[in-house]
Amino acid sequence: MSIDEETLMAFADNELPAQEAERVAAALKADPALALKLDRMRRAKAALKGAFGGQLELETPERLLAPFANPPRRSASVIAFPQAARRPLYMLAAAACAALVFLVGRASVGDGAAMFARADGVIVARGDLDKALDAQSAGANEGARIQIAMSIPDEGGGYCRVFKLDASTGLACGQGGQWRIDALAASDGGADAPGYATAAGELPEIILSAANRRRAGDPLDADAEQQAMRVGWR
Amino acid sequence: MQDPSGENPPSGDVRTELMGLIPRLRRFALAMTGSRADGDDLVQDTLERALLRLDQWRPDTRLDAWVFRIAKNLWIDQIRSRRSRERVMVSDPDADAAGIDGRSAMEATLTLSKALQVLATLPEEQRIVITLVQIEGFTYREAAEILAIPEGTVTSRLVRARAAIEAQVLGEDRA
Repeated sequence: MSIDEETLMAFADNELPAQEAERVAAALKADPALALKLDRMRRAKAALKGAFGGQLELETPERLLAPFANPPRRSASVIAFPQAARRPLYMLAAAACAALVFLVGRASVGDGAAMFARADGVIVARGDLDKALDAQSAGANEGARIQIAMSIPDEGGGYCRVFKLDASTGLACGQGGQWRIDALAASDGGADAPGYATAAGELPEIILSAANRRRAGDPLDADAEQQAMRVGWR
Repeated sequence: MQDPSGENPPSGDVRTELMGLIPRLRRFALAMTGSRADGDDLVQDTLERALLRLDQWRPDTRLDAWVFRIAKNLWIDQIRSRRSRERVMVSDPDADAAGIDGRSAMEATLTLSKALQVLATLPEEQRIVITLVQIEGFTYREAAEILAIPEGTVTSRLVRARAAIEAQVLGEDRA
Protein backbone atom coordinates (compact mmCIF):
# COMPACT_ATOMS: atom_id res chain seq x y z
CA MET A 1 0.00 0.00 0.00
CA SER A 2 2.10 2.85 -1.20
CA ILE A 3 1.01 6.47 -1.24
CA ASP A 4 2.73 8.65 -3.78
CA GLU A 5 3.64 12.27 -3.36
CA GLU A 6 0.71 13.61 -5.37
CA THR A 7 -1.82 11.58 -3.44
CA LEU A 8 -0.41 12.64 -0.09
CA MET A 9 -0.45 16.25 -1.20
CA ALA A 10 -4.03 15.95 -2.40
CA PHE A 11 -4.88 14.48 1.01
CA ALA A 12 -3.27 17.42 2.77
CA ASP A 13 -5.27 19.78 0.57
CA ASN A 14 -8.58 17.94 1.11
CA GLU A 15 -8.75 17.13 -2.56
CA LEU A 16 -9.26 13.38 -2.31
CA PRO A 17 -12.61 11.63 -2.64
CA ALA A 18 -13.76 10.11 0.68
CA GLN A 19 -12.81 6.57 -0.18
CA GLU A 20 -9.28 7.41 -1.18
CA ALA A 21 -8.86 9.70 1.78
CA GLU A 22 -9.72 6.75 4.03
CA ARG A 23 -7.10 4.67 2.31
CA VAL A 24 -4.49 7.36 2.94
CA ALA A 25 -5.60 7.77 6.54
CA ALA A 26 -5.12 4.04 7.09
CA ALA A 27 -1.70 4.14 5.48
CA LEU A 28 -0.72 7.04 7.69
CA LYS A 29 -1.48 5.04 10.83
CA ALA A 30 0.71 2.21 9.68
CA ASP A 31 3.58 4.29 8.37
CA PRO A 32 5.24 6.86 10.65
CA ALA A 33 7.53 8.08 7.88
CA LEU A 34 4.52 8.89 5.75
CA ALA A 35 2.91 10.69 8.68
CA LEU A 36 6.06 12.77 9.07
CA LYS A 37 5.94 13.68 5.43
CA LEU A 38 2.36 14.82 5.79
CA ASP A 39 3.30 16.85 8.83
CA ARG A 40 6.01 18.64 6.87
CA MET A 41 3.58 19.39 4.09
CA ARG A 42 1.08 20.85 6.51
CA ARG A 43 3.64 22.90 8.39
CA ALA A 44 5.08 24.39 5.24
CA LYS A 45 1.62 25.18 3.94
CA ALA A 46 0.57 26.83 7.20
CA ALA A 47 3.79 28.83 7.29
CA LEU A 48 3.35 30.09 3.75
CA LYS A 49 -0.27 30.96 4.22
CA GLY A 50 0.47 32.51 7.61
CA ALA A 51 3.12 34.76 6.10
CA PHE A 52 0.41 36.38 4.02
CA GLY A 53 -2.07 36.33 6.86
CA GLY A 54 -2.29 40.03 7.57
CA GLN A 55 -2.67 41.02 3.96
CA LEU A 56 -6.43 41.04 3.78
CA GLU A 57 -6.76 43.62 6.52
CA LEU A 58 -4.62 46.24 4.86
CA GLU A 59 -6.33 49.39 3.77
CA THR A 60 -6.91 49.65 0.04
CA PRO A 61 -4.86 52.44 -1.51
CA GLU A 62 -6.90 55.22 -3.08
CA ARG A 63 -5.52 54.66 -6.55
CA LEU A 64 -6.93 51.16 -6.68
CA LEU A 65 -10.42 52.51 -6.14
CA ALA A 66 -10.00 55.15 -8.83
CA PRO A 67 -10.99 52.86 -11.72
CA PHE A 68 -14.39 52.43 -10.07
CA ALA A 69 -14.97 56.15 -9.77
CA ASN A 70 -13.87 56.85 -13.35
CA PRO A 71 -14.53 53.66 -15.22
CA PRO A 72 -12.22 53.16 -18.19
CA ARG A 73 -14.09 53.83 -21.41
CA ARG A 74 -14.92 50.87 -23.55
CA SER A 75 -15.25 50.24 -27.29
CA ALA A 76 -12.82 53.00 -28.24
CA SER A 77 -10.08 50.75 -29.52
CA VAL A 78 -9.84 47.56 -31.50
CA ILE A 79 -8.10 45.79 -28.66
CA ALA A 80 -8.94 46.81 -25.14
CA PHE A 81 -5.67 47.48 -23.42
CA PRO A 82 -5.18 49.03 -20.01
CA GLN A 83 -5.33 52.78 -20.25
CA ALA A 84 -2.53 53.54 -17.82
CA ALA A 85 0.66 54.48 -19.65
CA ARG A 86 3.20 53.11 -17.28
CA ARG A 87 4.75 50.75 -19.78
CA PRO A 88 5.50 52.73 -22.89
CA LEU A 89 7.08 49.90 -24.84
CA TYR A 90 4.13 47.65 -24.30
CA MET A 91 1.66 50.35 -25.18
CA LEU A 92 3.62 51.39 -28.22
CA ALA A 93 3.66 47.88 -29.58
CA ALA A 94 -0.04 47.54 -28.86
CA ALA A 95 -0.86 50.82 -30.54
CA ALA A 96 1.21 49.95 -33.60
CA CYS A 97 -0.50 46.62 -33.82
CA ALA A 98 -3.96 48.10 -33.41
CA ALA A 99 -3.24 50.63 -36.16
CA LEU A 100 -2.01 47.94 -38.50
CA VAL A 101 -5.00 45.80 -37.74
CA PHE A 102 -7.26 48.68 -38.57
CA LEU A 103 -5.60 49.35 -41.88
CA VAL A 104 -5.46 45.75 -42.98
CA GLY A 105 -8.95 45.06 -41.77
CA ARG A 106 -10.33 48.04 -43.56
CA ALA A 107 -8.63 47.15 -46.80
CA SER A 108 -10.31 43.79 -46.77
CA VAL A 109 -13.80 45.02 -46.18
CA GLY A 110 -14.47 46.10 -49.71
CA ASP A 111 -13.08 42.92 -51.18
CA GLY A 112 -14.90 40.26 -49.22
CA ALA A 113 -17.98 42.18 -48.22
CA ALA A 114 -19.74 38.95 -47.41
CA MET A 115 -16.97 37.86 -45.06
CA PHE A 116 -16.38 41.03 -43.06
CA ALA A 117 -18.38 43.93 -41.77
CA ARG A 118 -17.79 46.95 -39.61
CA ALA A 119 -19.74 47.02 -36.39
CA ASP A 120 -19.25 49.53 -33.59
CA GLY A 121 -15.90 50.56 -34.97
CA VAL A 122 -14.40 47.11 -35.23
CA ILE A 123 -14.23 44.56 -38.01
CA VAL A 124 -16.32 41.47 -37.45
CA ALA A 125 -16.77 38.24 -39.36
CA ARG A 126 -19.84 37.72 -41.52
CA GLY A 127 -21.27 35.14 -43.85
CA ASP A 128 -19.28 32.00 -44.48
CA LEU A 129 -16.39 33.15 -42.34
CA ASP A 130 -18.72 33.73 -39.41
CA LYS A 131 -20.22 30.28 -39.89
CA ALA A 132 -16.84 28.58 -40.20
CA LEU A 133 -15.58 30.27 -37.04
CA ASP A 134 -18.64 28.98 -35.23
CA ALA A 135 -18.82 25.47 -36.49
CA GLN A 136 -15.63 24.34 -38.23
CA SER A 137 -13.06 22.30 -36.34
CA ALA A 138 -9.39 23.16 -36.49
CA GLY A 139 -7.68 21.19 -39.19
CA ALA A 140 -10.94 20.15 -40.87
CA ASN A 141 -11.96 20.78 -44.50
CA GLU A 142 -8.52 20.64 -46.01
CA GLY A 143 -8.43 22.48 -49.29
CA ALA A 144 -11.50 24.55 -48.49
CA ARG A 145 -11.50 28.30 -48.91
CA ILE A 146 -11.80 28.84 -45.16
CA GLN A 147 -9.77 26.82 -42.74
CA ILE A 148 -9.31 27.03 -39.01
CA ALA A 149 -5.73 26.62 -37.87
CA MET A 150 -6.25 26.60 -34.13
CA SER A 151 -8.44 27.67 -31.24
CA ILE A 152 -7.07 29.31 -28.13
CA PRO A 153 -8.58 30.41 -24.82
CA ASP A 154 -8.31 34.13 -24.20
CA GLU A 155 -7.97 35.88 -20.90
CA GLY A 156 -11.57 37.00 -20.68
CA GLY A 157 -12.72 33.41 -20.49
CA GLY A 158 -13.64 33.45 -24.18
CA TYR A 159 -11.90 32.11 -27.23
CA CYS A 160 -9.96 33.21 -30.27
CA ARG A 161 -9.48 31.26 -33.48
CA VAL A 162 -6.81 31.54 -36.11
CA PHE A 163 -8.32 31.18 -39.56
CA LYS A 164 -7.14 31.13 -43.14
CA LEU A 165 -9.23 32.69 -45.82
CA ASP A 166 -7.85 32.51 -49.34
CA ALA A 167 -4.39 34.05 -49.13
CA SER A 168 -4.96 35.71 -45.76
CA THR A 169 -4.53 34.52 -42.23
CA GLY A 170 -6.38 36.15 -39.37
CA LEU A 171 -7.17 36.06 -35.70
CA ALA A 172 -10.82 36.27 -34.67
CA CYS A 173 -11.93 36.58 -31.07
CA GLY A 174 -15.44 36.01 -29.77
CA GLN A 175 -16.82 39.13 -28.21
CA GLY A 176 -20.28 40.42 -27.58
CA GLY A 177 -21.81 37.69 -29.70
CA GLN A 178 -19.60 38.48 -32.71
CA TRP A 179 -16.32 37.23 -34.08
CA ARG A 180 -14.17 40.32 -33.93
CA ILE A 181 -11.23 40.33 -36.31
CA ASP A 182 -8.23 41.25 -34.22
CA ALA A 183 -5.58 40.83 -36.88
CA LEU A 184 -5.32 39.92 -40.53
CA ALA A 185 -2.23 39.41 -42.66
CA ALA A 186 -1.10 37.90 -45.92
CA SER A 187 -0.48 34.19 -45.45
CA ASP A 188 2.82 34.01 -47.28
CA GLY A 189 4.41 36.20 -44.64
CA GLY A 190 4.93 32.98 -42.75
CA ALA A 191 8.05 32.21 -44.72
CA ASP A 192 9.76 34.98 -42.78
CA ALA A 193 9.22 33.25 -39.50
CA PRO A 194 11.42 30.17 -39.59
CA GLY A 195 11.62 30.03 -35.79
CA TYR A 196 8.28 28.30 -35.46
CA ALA A 197 8.45 24.59 -36.03
CA THR A 198 5.04 23.67 -34.67
CA ALA A 199 1.78 23.11 -36.49
CA ALA A 200 1.56 26.89 -36.51
CA GLY A 201 4.65 26.84 -38.73
CA GLU A 202 3.11 28.44 -41.76
CA LEU A 203 1.29 31.19 -39.89
CA PRO A 204 2.45 34.79 -40.37
CA GLU A 205 4.42 36.08 -37.45
CA ILE A 206 2.11 39.00 -36.86
CA ILE A 207 -0.81 36.65 -36.40
CA LEU A 208 1.19 34.46 -34.07
CA SER A 209 2.20 37.38 -31.94
CA ALA A 210 -1.35 38.72 -31.87
CA ALA A 211 -2.56 35.27 -30.84
CA ASN A 212 0.15 34.98 -28.21
CA ARG A 213 -0.81 38.26 -26.70
CA ARG A 214 -4.43 37.26 -26.44
CA ARG A 215 -4.03 33.72 -25.34
CA ALA A 216 -4.54 32.55 -21.81
CA GLY A 217 -3.44 28.98 -22.32
CA ASP A 218 -2.46 26.30 -24.76
CA PRO A 219 -4.43 25.80 -27.96
CA LEU A 220 -7.51 23.68 -27.43
CA ASP A 221 -7.34 20.02 -28.32
CA ALA A 222 -10.11 18.44 -30.39
CA ASP A 223 -12.25 17.59 -27.36
CA ALA A 224 -11.98 21.00 -25.77
CA GLU A 225 -12.76 22.56 -29.09
CA GLN A 226 -15.90 20.47 -29.47
CA GLN A 227 -16.99 21.46 -26.02
CA ALA A 228 -16.41 25.15 -26.68
CA MET A 229 -18.40 24.77 -29.87
CA ARG A 230 -21.32 23.28 -28.01
CA VAL A 231 -21.33 25.83 -25.23
CA GLY A 232 -20.91 28.76 -27.56
CA TRP A 233 -17.70 30.47 -28.49
CA ARG A 234 -18.44 34.09 -28.25
CA MET B 1 -24.76 31.68 -31.48
CA GLN B 2 -25.51 34.11 -28.72
CA ASP B 3 -24.52 33.65 -25.15
CA PRO B 4 -27.73 32.41 -23.54
CA SER B 5 -26.83 33.83 -20.15
CA GLY B 6 -27.36 37.37 -21.41
CA GLU B 7 -24.73 39.92 -22.15
CA ASN B 8 -25.36 42.63 -19.63
CA PRO B 9 -25.53 41.44 -16.06
CA PRO B 10 -26.48 44.07 -13.48
CA SER B 11 -23.11 45.72 -13.55
CA GLY B 12 -23.56 47.71 -10.35
CA ASP B 13 -23.60 44.58 -8.21
CA VAL B 14 -20.70 43.08 -10.06
CA ARG B 15 -18.68 46.23 -9.56
CA THR B 16 -19.31 46.08 -5.83
CA GLU B 17 -18.30 42.46 -5.80
CA LEU B 18 -15.19 43.30 -7.79
CA MET B 19 -14.28 46.02 -5.33
CA GLY B 20 -14.63 43.52 -2.53
CA LEU B 21 -12.02 41.33 -4.20
CA ILE B 22 -9.31 43.99 -4.04
CA PRO B 23 -7.69 42.75 -0.81
CA ARG B 24 -7.39 39.24 -2.14
CA LEU B 25 -6.19 40.50 -5.49
CA ARG B 26 -3.49 42.51 -3.75
CA ARG B 27 -2.37 39.49 -1.80
CA PHE B 28 -2.28 37.36 -4.92
CA ALA B 29 -0.42 40.02 -6.88
CA LEU B 30 2.07 40.51 -4.07
CA ALA B 31 2.84 36.80 -3.98
CA MET B 32 3.06 36.60 -7.74
CA THR B 33 5.18 39.69 -8.38
CA GLY B 34 7.20 39.59 -5.19
CA SER B 35 6.80 43.27 -4.44
CA ARG B 36 4.15 45.58 -3.10
CA ALA B 37 4.68 48.23 -5.77
CA ASP B 38 4.60 45.83 -8.71
CA GLY B 39 1.71 44.01 -7.14
CA ASP B 40 -0.42 47.11 -6.79
CA ASP B 41 0.44 48.21 -10.33
CA LEU B 42 -0.79 44.85 -11.47
CA VAL B 43 -3.96 45.11 -9.41
CA GLN B 44 -4.71 48.49 -10.91
CA ASP B 45 -4.25 47.18 -14.44
CA THR B 46 -6.35 44.16 -13.58
CA LEU B 47 -9.22 46.24 -12.24
CA GLU B 48 -9.17 48.50 -15.27
CA ARG B 49 -9.25 45.59 -17.65
CA ALA B 50 -11.90 43.76 -15.65
CA LEU B 51 -14.13 46.84 -15.66
CA LEU B 52 -13.65 47.21 -19.40
CA ARG B 53 -14.59 43.64 -20.04
CA LEU B 54 -17.21 43.10 -17.42
CA ASP B 55 -19.65 41.98 -20.09
CA GLN B 56 -17.38 39.03 -20.85
CA TRP B 57 -17.73 37.57 -17.40
CA ARG B 58 -20.38 34.88 -17.36
CA PRO B 59 -22.60 35.19 -14.29
CA ASP B 60 -22.71 31.43 -13.84
CA THR B 61 -18.96 31.38 -13.20
CA ARG B 62 -16.92 32.65 -10.27
CA LEU B 63 -16.01 36.29 -10.49
CA ASP B 64 -12.89 35.83 -8.37
CA ALA B 65 -11.54 33.12 -10.65
CA TRP B 66 -12.19 35.30 -13.69
CA VAL B 67 -10.42 38.30 -12.20
CA PHE B 68 -7.49 36.27 -10.92
CA ARG B 69 -7.10 34.90 -14.39
CA ILE B 70 -6.94 38.39 -15.82
CA ALA B 71 -4.30 39.31 -13.23
CA LYS B 72 -2.26 36.23 -14.03
CA ASN B 73 -2.41 36.90 -17.77
CA LEU B 74 -1.45 40.54 -17.38
CA TRP B 75 1.48 39.55 -15.25
CA ILE B 76 2.67 36.97 -17.75
CA ASP B 77 2.29 39.58 -20.50
CA GLN B 78 4.38 42.04 -18.54
CA ILE B 79 7.12 39.55 -17.91
CA ARG B 80 7.24 38.75 -21.59
CA SER B 81 7.18 42.34 -22.67
CA ARG B 82 9.95 43.29 -20.30
CA ARG B 83 11.88 40.22 -21.30
CA SER B 84 13.32 40.14 -17.85
CA ARG B 85 12.17 37.15 -15.98
CA GLU B 86 15.11 37.76 -13.65
CA ARG B 87 13.45 40.84 -12.31
CA VAL B 88 11.13 38.81 -10.17
CA MET B 89 13.92 36.55 -9.03
CA VAL B 90 15.47 39.41 -7.13
CA SER B 91 13.76 40.00 -3.84
CA ASP B 92 12.46 43.48 -3.35
CA PRO B 93 14.09 45.34 -0.48
CA ASP B 94 11.03 47.57 -0.18
CA ALA B 95 8.69 44.71 0.45
CA ASP B 96 8.92 45.02 4.22
CA ALA B 97 9.02 48.77 4.34
CA ALA B 98 5.62 49.24 2.79
CA GLY B 99 3.51 48.91 5.87
CA ILE B 100 3.41 45.17 6.39
CA ASP B 101 1.29 44.17 9.31
CA GLY B 102 3.56 42.83 12.02
CA ARG B 103 0.95 40.76 13.82
CA SER B 104 0.85 37.96 11.33
CA ALA B 105 4.58 37.53 11.45
CA MET B 106 4.34 36.79 15.14
CA GLU B 107 2.13 33.77 14.61
CA ALA B 108 3.77 32.39 11.52
CA THR B 109 7.12 30.72 11.36
CA LEU B 110 7.72 32.58 8.14
CA THR B 111 7.85 36.33 7.72
CA LEU B 112 6.35 37.91 4.67
CA SER B 113 9.68 39.00 3.25
CA LYS B 114 11.10 35.51 3.70
CA ALA B 115 7.99 34.01 2.10
CA LEU B 116 8.41 36.33 -0.88
CA GLN B 117 12.05 35.34 -1.15
CA VAL B 118 11.13 31.68 -1.11
CA LEU B 119 8.42 32.16 -3.72
CA ALA B 120 10.84 34.11 -5.89
CA THR B 121 13.07 31.06 -6.17
CA LEU B 122 10.29 29.14 -7.92
CA PRO B 123 9.72 29.15 -11.67
CA GLU B 124 6.89 31.48 -12.61
CA GLU B 125 4.30 28.81 -13.30
CA GLN B 126 4.98 26.99 -10.04
CA ARG B 127 4.77 30.18 -8.05
CA ILE B 128 1.41 31.06 -9.55
CA VAL B 129 -0.06 27.62 -8.91
CA ILE B 130 1.06 27.39 -5.32
CA THR B 131 -0.16 30.90 -4.64
CA LEU B 132 -3.60 30.11 -6.02
CA VAL B 133 -3.94 26.88 -4.06
CA GLN B 134 -2.11 27.41 -0.81
CA ILE B 135 -2.52 31.11 -0.21
CA GLU B 136 -5.77 31.86 -2.02
CA GLY B 137 -7.41 28.53 -1.27
CA PHE B 138 -8.63 27.63 -4.73
CA THR B 139 -9.22 23.94 -5.38
CA TYR B 140 -7.01 22.14 -7.88
CA ARG B 141 -9.85 22.23 -10.34
CA GLU B 142 -10.45 25.94 -9.92
CA ALA B 143 -6.74 26.63 -10.29
CA ALA B 144 -6.73 24.56 -13.47
CA GLU B 145 -9.59 26.62 -14.84
CA ILE B 146 -7.97 29.91 -13.93
CA LEU B 147 -4.74 28.87 -15.61
CA ALA B 148 -6.42 27.06 -18.50
CA ILE B 149 -4.26 24.00 -17.94
CA PRO B 150 -5.19 20.39 -17.14
CA GLU B 151 -5.65 19.47 -13.49
CA GLY B 152 -2.80 16.99 -13.79
CA THR B 153 -0.48 19.85 -14.68
CA VAL B 154 -1.65 21.72 -11.61
CA THR B 155 -0.79 18.81 -9.35
CA SER B 156 2.58 18.14 -10.92
CA ARG B 157 3.57 21.80 -10.62
CA LEU B 158 2.30 21.83 -7.07
CA VAL B 159 4.35 18.80 -6.08
CA ARG B 160 7.51 20.46 -7.34
CA ALA B 161 6.74 23.85 -5.86
CA ARG B 162 5.83 22.35 -2.55
CA ALA B 163 8.98 20.25 -2.30
CA ALA B 164 11.11 23.33 -2.99
CA ILE B 165 9.25 25.39 -0.42
CA GLU B 166 9.43 22.68 2.21
CA ALA B 167 13.14 22.35 1.77
CA GLN B 168 13.63 26.08 2.21
CA VAL B 169 11.18 26.63 5.02
CA LEU B 170 11.71 23.48 7.07
CA GLY B 171 15.16 22.42 5.93
CA GLU B 172 16.00 19.33 3.90
CA ASP B 173 14.08 16.18 4.68
CA ARG B 174 16.33 14.00 6.79
CA ALA B 175 14.83 10.73 5.69
